[in-house]
Amino acid sequence: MQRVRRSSGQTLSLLRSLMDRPRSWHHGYELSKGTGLVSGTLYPILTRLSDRGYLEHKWLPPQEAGKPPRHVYRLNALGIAYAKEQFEITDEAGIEATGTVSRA
Amino acid sequence: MKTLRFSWRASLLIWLATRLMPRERREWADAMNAEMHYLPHDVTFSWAAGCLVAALKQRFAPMHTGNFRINRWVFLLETLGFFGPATLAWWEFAFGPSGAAYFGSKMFAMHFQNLPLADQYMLGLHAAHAVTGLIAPMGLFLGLRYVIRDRALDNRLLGYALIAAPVLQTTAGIIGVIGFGVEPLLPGIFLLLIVLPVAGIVHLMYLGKAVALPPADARLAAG
Repeated sequence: MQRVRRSSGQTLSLLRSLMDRPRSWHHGYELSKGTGLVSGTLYPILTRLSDRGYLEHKWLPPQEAGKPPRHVYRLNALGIAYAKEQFEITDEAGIEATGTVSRA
Repeated sequence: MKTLRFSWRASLLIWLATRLMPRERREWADAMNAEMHYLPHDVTFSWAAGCLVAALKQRFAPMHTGNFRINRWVFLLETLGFFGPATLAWWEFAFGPSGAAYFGSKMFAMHFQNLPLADQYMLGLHAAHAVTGLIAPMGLFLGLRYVIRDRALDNRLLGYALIAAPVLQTTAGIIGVIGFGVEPLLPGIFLLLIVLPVAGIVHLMYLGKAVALPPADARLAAG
């Protein structure tokens, strides 16, 4: 049986934030505020989740004149399953997603 | 919440982040850049600083996975460090006051005639380095060509020849130490003249190999 690797606290925090409204699109600043992650931590995790095929992303047309299109994110079906799996592992281990867990 | 145009410091940081982000990750740099326009003014600087950190992480990420396809500007440092000192040494051997050119024609023959065998051998090795040491200036040229034109060493034959020259010279040196009692090279000199140039050429050959993008990056590249 393949051993499932536990994600870092920051990744878990981001997964929880994305799973709050899993079908909605989230933008970077919203995720940053929701998780407390700074952009230097947030974007590498988003990139990694995307590379692993867990994250969908797209460009939203600008809501206000003079602003650029905005990049938004949400978990896909695989990502939702991955998030649930990670939450189970974390709950079993009794670890809070505080950022102190070993990195994924 | 009102958003204002961000400061020149934040602009500079986000510009740097965009420039440093690897090509295949450019979409993410654009995403971070676009997000800046939606932030409250007071957080744009810290956001931009974080984006720079994110770009640096992406830039250095391949190094953590044993992938030696480093950035060309990082390779510039490697080129100067690996081939620079050896090029200066080669110049000294070939053209400097104590070099092979100095020993040219009659001077060279005269020195050979008057020297004991071990010294003759040593002198021969020094003279040979004028040829085998060409790995250094050629490596410097090829390294700089890679930095400027993104063209690595794709001629395998040339690569193997450049590696073979110092390897043969090392073999000759070992024979000299064992057979003729000549002084072995100091480890530091051996590192500078042989090991680093050979490592640099091997790296250039590695960079010259065709690369297949991993599936995730291929998806990104395809948009």
